[in-house]
Amino acid sequence: MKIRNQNAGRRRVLKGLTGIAGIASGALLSAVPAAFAQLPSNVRPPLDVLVAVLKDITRGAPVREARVKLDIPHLAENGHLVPLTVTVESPMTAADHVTTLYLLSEKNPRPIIAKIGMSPGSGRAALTTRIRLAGAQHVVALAQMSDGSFWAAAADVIVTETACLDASDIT
Amino acid sequence: MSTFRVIPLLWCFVALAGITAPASAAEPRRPDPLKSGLDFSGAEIRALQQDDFSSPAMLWVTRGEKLWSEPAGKSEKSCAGCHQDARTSMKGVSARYPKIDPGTAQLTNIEGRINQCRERNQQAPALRYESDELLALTAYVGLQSRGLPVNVTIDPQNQRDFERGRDMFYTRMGQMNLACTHCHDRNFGRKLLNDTISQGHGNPYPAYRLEWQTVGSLHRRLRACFFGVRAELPPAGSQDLLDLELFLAWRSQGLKVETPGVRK
Amino acid sequence: MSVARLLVPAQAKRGEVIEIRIAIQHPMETGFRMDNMGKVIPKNTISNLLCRYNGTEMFRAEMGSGIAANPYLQFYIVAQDSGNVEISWVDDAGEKGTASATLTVLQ
Repeated sequence: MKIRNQNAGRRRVLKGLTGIAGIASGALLSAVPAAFAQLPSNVRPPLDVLVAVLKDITRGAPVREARVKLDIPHLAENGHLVPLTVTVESPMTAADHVTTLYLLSEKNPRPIIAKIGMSPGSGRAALTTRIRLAGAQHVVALAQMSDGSFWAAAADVIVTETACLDASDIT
Repeated sequence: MSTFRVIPLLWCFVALAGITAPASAAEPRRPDPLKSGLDFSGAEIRALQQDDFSSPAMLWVTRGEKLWSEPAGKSEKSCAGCHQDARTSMKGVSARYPKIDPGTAQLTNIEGRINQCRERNQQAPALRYESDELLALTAYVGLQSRGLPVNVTIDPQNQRDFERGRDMFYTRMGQMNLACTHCHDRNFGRKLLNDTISQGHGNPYPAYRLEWQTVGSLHRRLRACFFGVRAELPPAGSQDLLDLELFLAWRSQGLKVETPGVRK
Repeated sequence: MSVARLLVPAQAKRGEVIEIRIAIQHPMETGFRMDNMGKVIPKNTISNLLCRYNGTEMFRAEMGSGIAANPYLQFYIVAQDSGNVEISWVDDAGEKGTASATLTVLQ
């Protein structure tokens, strides 16, 4: 079985996602990277989930990798709490502002981590929060603008298990 | 190897053995240099602990501050009723615990002292270990010692407790047959899988542990360590853990209190 | 009752972009954990958080189990008129919470 390349890289993820998001439904699975071609059929490559979620949100509109900056540690101390900051280049005027910011996870049981609503009254399209990550994976910050366009940034986060098991909550 | 080279080598080994003999119950030693667990934590953990507003541990301090002024039990008295402003009355207190309580002549930690006060002076029921309220009050009282050096006194009254705690620290236990000293004296700074082993001090407790997703007491952390080596977990508040708490405090003498800390 | 900490600057100049910080004590129970008896602990997360400034919605967060326990948010609003910044939220169990602060805006 081919071992998935952990160093897939932001560009490859977003290239795949951008390409896929622009393709009409039905052609989705044919765009799956070649490396996954030899996996057993019952193993779904993780990117599939992100692709499906993105398509759901963008309805096939193109997603451009620009204007969004995702600041997240490359190696998380603990998957229970991973701090991150998202900043989107936007004047935040009535004519041009971020309407919605999505935080998406590649491998969490629920792929949409948060959906943030912003307005011109926000002044600055920036958010700092803390998320949970169920294992090493890609995280995507997707911004929807007032003109309907989509912009995104992706990051690869390594999450390891704690060395000593802790069952201290046993009474 | 010729003889004249072997003998100096042997002397080297003998000399080194004398210098680097590991700490033992017979010769308990503080780690040198004394380092807080924060020194073994990553940048994210440090940032979390050092920002008082966003530190998740501070949520419990906020609750503790509220509880301090709330009347409790049949007495309808609050902590503030006797102790007034905690910033003054509780300053440096946690740094000197655990200690022998003059009333009971027993080794007592802050949790025990709070519960004693509740039962005796407020006629209120004791709070459970790991309950939000006890964690909040312990964290709030502990905060008043933040930045001050740990400073316990070992004297004839607590000597037996200290010796029991010390012996426990150096005794192999559990399925893994490891003593605390094996990791926390001989291997701090090294990796256990992806975790960096710390010196095992109690100075940030009660602390917010990311693994727990909540604040927990020192006894909870110690129980987690017992589980880590697959030993039986002594109950929170037990004499075993109190003795160990005393030894750990002695061992971290001079290290600054960091309550409420953040750890992974 | 859960504890919440809200940080709003005491005052700002009109038109200034100010930082709002909110920390809430909440387990954000995922619904995937089991208790010591093997029973699933039901999902309970803060699902909807709203920030209103003088009654107008400025910021909204729809969160799920992917947000870490004891959620923390830091975001921005533009200071316009003196008044009230109020954050309100509700969790899956129907528990509501609020935190508010007054903001004085200098003209």
